[in-house]
Amino acid sequence: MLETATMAETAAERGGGYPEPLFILAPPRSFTSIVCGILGQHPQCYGLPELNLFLGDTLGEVWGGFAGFMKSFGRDGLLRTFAQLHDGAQNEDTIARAQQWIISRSDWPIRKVFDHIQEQVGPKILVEKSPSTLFRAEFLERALRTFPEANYLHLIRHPRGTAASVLSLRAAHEEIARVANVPMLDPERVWRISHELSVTLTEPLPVGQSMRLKGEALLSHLDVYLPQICEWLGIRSDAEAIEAMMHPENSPYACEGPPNAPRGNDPNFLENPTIDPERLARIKEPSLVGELSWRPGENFDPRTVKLARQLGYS
Amino acid sequence: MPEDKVMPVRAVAEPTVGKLRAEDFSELEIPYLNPSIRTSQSMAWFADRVILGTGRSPLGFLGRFTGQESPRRGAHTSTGGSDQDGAQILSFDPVSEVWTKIYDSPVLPGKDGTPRARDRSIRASLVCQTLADDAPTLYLGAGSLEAQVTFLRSEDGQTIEECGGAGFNLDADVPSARAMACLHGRLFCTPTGRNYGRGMYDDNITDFPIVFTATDPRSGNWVAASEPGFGEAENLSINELAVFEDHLYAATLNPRFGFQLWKTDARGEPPFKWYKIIDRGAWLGSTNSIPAAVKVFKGALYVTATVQRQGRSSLDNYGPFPAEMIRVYANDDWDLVSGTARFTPNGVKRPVSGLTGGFGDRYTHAFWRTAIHDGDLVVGTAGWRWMPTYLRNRDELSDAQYRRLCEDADKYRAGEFKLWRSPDGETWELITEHGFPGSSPNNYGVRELLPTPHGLFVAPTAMVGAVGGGGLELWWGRK
Repeated sequence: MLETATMAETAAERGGGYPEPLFILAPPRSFTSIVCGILGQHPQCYGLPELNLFLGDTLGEVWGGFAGFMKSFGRDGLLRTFAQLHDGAQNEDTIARAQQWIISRSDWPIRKVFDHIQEQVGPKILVEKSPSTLFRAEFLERALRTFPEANYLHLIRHPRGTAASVLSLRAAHEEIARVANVPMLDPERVWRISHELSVTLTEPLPVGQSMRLKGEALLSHLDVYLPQICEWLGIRSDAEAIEAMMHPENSPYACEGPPNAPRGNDPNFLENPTIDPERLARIKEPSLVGELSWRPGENFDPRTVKLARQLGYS
Repeated sequence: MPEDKVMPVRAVAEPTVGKLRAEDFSELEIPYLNPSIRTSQSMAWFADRVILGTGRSPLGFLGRFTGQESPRRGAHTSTGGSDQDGAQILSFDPVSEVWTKIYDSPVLPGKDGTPRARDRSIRASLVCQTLADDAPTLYLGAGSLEAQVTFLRSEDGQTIEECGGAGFNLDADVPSARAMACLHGRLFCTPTGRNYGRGMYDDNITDFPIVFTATDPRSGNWVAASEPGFGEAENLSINELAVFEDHLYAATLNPRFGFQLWKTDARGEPPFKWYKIIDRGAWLGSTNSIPAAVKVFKGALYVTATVQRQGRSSLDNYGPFPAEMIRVYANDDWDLVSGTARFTPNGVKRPVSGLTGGFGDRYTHAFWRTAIHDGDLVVGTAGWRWMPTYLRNRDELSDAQYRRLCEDADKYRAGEFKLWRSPDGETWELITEHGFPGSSPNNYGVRELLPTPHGLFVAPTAMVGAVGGGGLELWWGRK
């Protein structure tokens, strides 16, 4: 794929040295961690943990915004990123220094923060996947306004599978359940609102700037879809590049961080970031029909069914 | 098959000099029509004449919109005329410009004994020389108001005879024929609709989603050429048929998963062996549920699809979703022509026209009809704005989002439809963006296109019958 590699280089030259980033848009529990981990290991990409940068206009607003979420674990991705990029390691000391660095630059616009990360990384496509980008319309609008030329991958997962994963995570992590077990964060509701936002706000983008992909299809057929994503992004799709992508565990963020920033990604992914091809091949789409396990006696809201059908589920 | 994988960026071109433009079309006055006639679902060029099949509304008590509240912009369907007025067939000689009425629906006792027209609409027509014919013969499917479909035939374009047998050789409620194709001396046809039970509310579906074939349609010897739904229960009808590179293609309506495209060489004895080449609405899903038109053009089969209007529970009050067009090659590869760029099991697909669905207009609901004229692929559309079902029950949208949708819907222009033309399927230009000057404000789409050596004939369709200010129009475009 010499031709596409040349395209990426040319794009980088045109854009002042750096290619446009790739943002993965999806609500929590939509395979974003593993997918971001996979794409981020491409030799021409750099996978980031969850930065949650679109929660505010400045670094200070992001740091102090969406209080419960950011203070519990929402800051870990930023801390780990700066520790890694500034000091080449993630430990309690480098995380502390990263925190000081962030606090002393609270007036930085988020674009400047992102550009700083890009400078540290070099001419690679930054891949970012914060589910918080879909928490509110203003967050996604901020992303689109700040990065009007970026590529957006709308990653989808069946609402029943998403909800099952959400509930399983909450059951296993008391601190998450404490924050999330409220009616407003009913997994079906979060799924519907998040995807509706993504569908509506990316629809006006030029042809091909935003692409939608079922997580189930991608993960159960990596051989089919990874080369297509490479083609879309204009990067190499040779065997060496694909093999690199099959090892998300090689990312410096694919493990638990130090005690003062342990997360920055899905806890399950951090525990086991290695691809298990046999398990992935067994991923199937569940049905929209049937009772909801977390709301006995109820089925999916008709609005959820319609949106899911629009997205290709049944 | 283009090798270029880079996204093409093709502006919509200005009208080409020497090609048809909107002002080249004039409306033909059509004599003989009874007051019930409101549309044409089928036209053919045969024996140097335009054969115009016409149709009326369902009977009042079966009316599609009876008792239904909806944000339609026009009046509710007016049947017009009387129950004795039924489908008609006219012929038009473009040289002498003389019309002739060649068929009137017979009037028979209805189910309750009251005299009624038998035929509702001529919904399918095709010139085919079957094994039993001495020469190319015109075949037509006359949809029934209360009973089974009747097949008609004509050897000279002036006289019509009824074929024998009962409909598709079924003892069942199958009131209409949908698509026709001709291959290896066989006429192929698919059924649609049902008069009783679920009523005429949705006449795009059938209890018999089967491709039928006959080597001697005059005798009514129809037999199944496929298994029902090609073995998939979610295929609710076979909506379109086409012959391409010595194979028969069939496109299915599949509201749950999206349309499918199947193919057979139709060799040997029926039922034939079919295989699927397009699935799940060309991998867009259920918003590509219904195939609207198929046409072979310059080495590819062009297929258009959209979401079907089905009422309250359907995706049509979740749109607007624009129509899509794909093209399929004889080796089963396919391109997206106009639509949403996407990843598929067949590779990443980006529109070769550079245009999203609806040729860039998300309010284009359907690429309803296609035709080859003057070396171009011509497409007639229908829009979303005349019936904005998508404004219902949208409480998941923010106020701002809903307001934007309403503002877009308010850009409706009465009588609008579009006609597009392309010399290669990739560069598209408008023949007209807002219908024809002077056409009925009740028109909302192009229901039929007929290319002839004497110009292009266009039959728009209206949301109301003649009594309500709509009715059948026929426009003749010639340089």
